[in-house]
Amino acid sequence: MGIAEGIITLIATLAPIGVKLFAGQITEEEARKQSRDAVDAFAAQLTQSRADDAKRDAETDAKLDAIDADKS
Amino acid sequence: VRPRWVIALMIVMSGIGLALLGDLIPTAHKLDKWAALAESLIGVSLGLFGYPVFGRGAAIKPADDKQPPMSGAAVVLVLAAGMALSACALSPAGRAHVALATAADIGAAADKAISAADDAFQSAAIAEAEKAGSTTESRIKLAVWREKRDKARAVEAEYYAGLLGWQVALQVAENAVDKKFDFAGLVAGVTKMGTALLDGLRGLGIAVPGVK
Repeated sequence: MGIAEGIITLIATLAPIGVKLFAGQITEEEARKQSRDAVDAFAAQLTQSRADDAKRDAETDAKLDAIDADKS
Repeated sequence: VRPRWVIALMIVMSGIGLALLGDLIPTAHKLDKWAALAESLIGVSLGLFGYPVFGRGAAIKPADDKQPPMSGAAVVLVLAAGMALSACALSPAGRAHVALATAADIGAAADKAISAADDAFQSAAIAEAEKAGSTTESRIKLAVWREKRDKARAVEAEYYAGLLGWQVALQVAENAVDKKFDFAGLVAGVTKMGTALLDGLRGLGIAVPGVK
């Protein structure tokens, strides 16, 4: 997903929440839970992304090693 | 203890003290626009005043001359604190939470974009090596790319630390409305924020004196 797609998805997701909140359909408690969940989800995603990076690096290096091995 | 650390600590304590006074939020709830504006200016001023102290205070020293003299984390942290105070002063707390959730979702979207770019770059590097019959060029490009990617991840960690700072400031402000002080919650939040910040600084190769 590119940055532009991410921003569009974000707006599409948050716009209804914003409208509900401004219309008084979301309580403060719900808003508090949403922010807590969003920050926690971001933290979990950061950890997962780093693990994925390491895995991807190892896979790429293995493929490059295989190319070198085939050549020799 | 370095004098600059003391100044930085004083600013943080002043911010918490201001929030604890409980004058910030109740006036905003009365929707007194001028009071809300004045309070938001206090928040922004705190952020702006904190910027040079945190950034240039030598609390964070560059690992070598090539590193920037300050970290983006300091900027994110103090501006997040200022934004939190402003958001609390200008709108009901519910909207401040939606703003925080939005900021977290923006970070998550950026994180996904970095992962997608990394996947594409590494796949392209493999394809290029296969085509060329040599991995030398691809390995060089990959090394440069991975360094950039890791720095981007470190900045993400700093951004996350900024969000946690915002969250803590909101928590303190909300508690001030209820005239209570959640010391354990505050310590837990600040500790979490500090850990994320150090993680980001390490990723950027910036040494923090006294911390390994």
